[in-house]
Amino acid sequence: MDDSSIPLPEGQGITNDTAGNTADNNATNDSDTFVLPGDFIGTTEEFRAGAQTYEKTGGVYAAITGTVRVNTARRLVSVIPCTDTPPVLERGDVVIGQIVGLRDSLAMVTIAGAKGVVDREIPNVGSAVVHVSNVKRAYVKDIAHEFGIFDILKAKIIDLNNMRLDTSEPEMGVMKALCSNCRTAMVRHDSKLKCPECGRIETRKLATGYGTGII
Amino acid sequence: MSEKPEHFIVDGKRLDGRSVDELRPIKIELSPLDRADGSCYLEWGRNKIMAAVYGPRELHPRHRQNMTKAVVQYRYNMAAFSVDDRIRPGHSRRSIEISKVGRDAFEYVVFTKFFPKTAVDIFIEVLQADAGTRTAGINAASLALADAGIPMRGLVSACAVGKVDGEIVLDLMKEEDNFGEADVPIAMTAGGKITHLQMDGNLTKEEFYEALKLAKIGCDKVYKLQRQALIEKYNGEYAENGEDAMPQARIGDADE
Amino acid sequence: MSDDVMAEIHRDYLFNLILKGERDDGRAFDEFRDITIETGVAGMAEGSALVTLGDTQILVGIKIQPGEPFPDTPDVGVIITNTELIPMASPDYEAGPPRETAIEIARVVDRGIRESKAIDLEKLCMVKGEKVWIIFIDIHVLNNGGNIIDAASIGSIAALLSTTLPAERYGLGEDSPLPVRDIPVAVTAIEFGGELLLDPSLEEGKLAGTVYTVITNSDGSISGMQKSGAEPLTIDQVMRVVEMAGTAAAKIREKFLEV
Repeated sequence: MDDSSIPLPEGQGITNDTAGNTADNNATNDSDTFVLPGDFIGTTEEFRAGAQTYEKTGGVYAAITGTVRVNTARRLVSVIPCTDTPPVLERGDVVIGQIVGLRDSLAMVTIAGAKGVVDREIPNVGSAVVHVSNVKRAYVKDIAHEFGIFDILKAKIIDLNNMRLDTSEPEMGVMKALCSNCRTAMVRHDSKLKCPECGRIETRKLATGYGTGII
Repeated sequence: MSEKPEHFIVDGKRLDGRSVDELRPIKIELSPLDRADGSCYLEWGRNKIMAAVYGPRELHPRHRQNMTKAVVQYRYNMAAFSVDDRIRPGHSRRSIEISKVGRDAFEYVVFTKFFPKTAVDIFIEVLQADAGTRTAGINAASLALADAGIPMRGLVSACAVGKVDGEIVLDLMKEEDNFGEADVPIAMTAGGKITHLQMDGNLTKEEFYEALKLAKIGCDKVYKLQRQALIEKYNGEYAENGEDAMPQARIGDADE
Repeated sequence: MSDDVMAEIHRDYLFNLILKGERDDGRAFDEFRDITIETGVAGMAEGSALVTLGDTQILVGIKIQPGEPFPDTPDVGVIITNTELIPMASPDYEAGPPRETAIEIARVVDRGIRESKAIDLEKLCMVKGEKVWIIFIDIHVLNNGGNIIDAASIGSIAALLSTTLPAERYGLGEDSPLPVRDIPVAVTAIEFGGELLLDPSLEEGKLAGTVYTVITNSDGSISGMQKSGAEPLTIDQVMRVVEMAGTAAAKIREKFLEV
């Protein structure tokens, strides 16, 4: 509250941590300073506001519950959350998505979820693309030989701004596909897929975990 | 229904033995629900309140989406069995109004700009109602938002003040609420920014200013309990020795 | 939509487990998740019970007030059961009037209690054709962790067992315990991958083509059933669920002795 702030114990807390360290220290320190939303972390003269913090009237404040991290070289403070937080996708994340459109050199994918994100919606996650050059390591002549419409894919994010995905690694690719003839879930047969109902054979860039449901 | 007591305050003690500036006991449990993204169960006197937060998540229908920020939605609901006479499930004019001003109480503190086009949904369920369910709901909602890790300027703390026997008192109990002369539910940030204020009854200007001062004291007390609950849940290392043992930044918020 | 895609993938995972005779949480096919029952939690209600079944949490509150009997049953009390699938309990629930799922749950629970004659409704008649006790069973789902129907059934009868008739409040004599004569228990199974699984978790329930509920009483008789979902069941499967339900219900009934 206004006048109930508790003074920092000697030698602890964020202000003292950095007072003794000069900018030549490159380390990132996870201090054990625990903060709640609204807690004052430092002044804007000392720090720039990093992730999960905000600036107001000359101060840097915590926006969530967590511990303070200081990058002394960059004078940047951020808060490492102790609570669950809204999931945010990053480059390198593995996502699950469904193919909703195929063009000559592109597959359009609607992202449904991500590895490690359990039971929480990813805000504003939308569509992504797999370019023909990112389907697999070998040359792809026709993307329709690798993907089918409504296939469920496991893919890695390689470009966050344009939401480009890559399936060239062995674990990436089609996780589940329906027979284009009779819409039955296809079963893996060596390197191809076979429809258990009508016997149709189709090809895909298969993920090693096809049909296992293991993300 | 009970009848109006002759006196609300006798020898400085209220009907339940509290002094005029004393809160009823508050008990807080964080994350009791696993489906919600954040949740809080709160008992305040005989009130039993469950709060849950979902989001930020896609807002339907689409035309309600805001391209520049998240929309905060607040739903206050009383269980049919939460009061003496069963209430019909579903919205009433009362619950719609409380939901509206509840939403208003949080729009200032939630950093909505980080999540355009989404909704942050706050749900309040009153399981047992005494007096002060709307302020209890706001306190629980504040903690559920923190539990969900939704970025905020700070916590919101709420309590009611009122007037009985000509005196300004903190945290009205049921009899005081029913038969008292005024009821003023208030919510504010730790820095004293008021985000919720209603008044019902009759006060002089001077009495209102006194009530406001007392509300600040009450909100400060609530805020300390909210802090303690979050520390106990998320910083177990320091919980045993209380907040004082913790190396820490200055508490408070940006609006001092 | 996105949820459906993730569920499709999860279906493969659970299916592969079931082929190995396993469930995601390590249970046997006929095993219930842990059940806890706490009564008297809603102090404004005449009776109440908070039930947890795994992650599912349900609060049932009983309100009782005097009122008129239905014209076709002038000499018995009235039971009204209502389920609220509040949006707090699941990202899939929306605010608003009860949809068909909520109404189905309420009606199945109601049937079990009514047809088992667990409540002696004749004792709830005060003046024939004029004044009877009306019992409101309000099922408030706080957290949907799957198999709402069994948790709601357990919660409802537990709440009724803890209920007091509020006669004094209405100037109608002395308060007394609500007369409860039996403990009907709903047991729900799903059919998945050719196997029958009791007490489906949330994920299992989502994948099931059919959910089948059997409500049994202390003497082993059956007082209600519901098959819900598009997939058919074989006669053999139906009979197997009836057997499994009787055994499971007897075990659950023992829980009531601990309350």
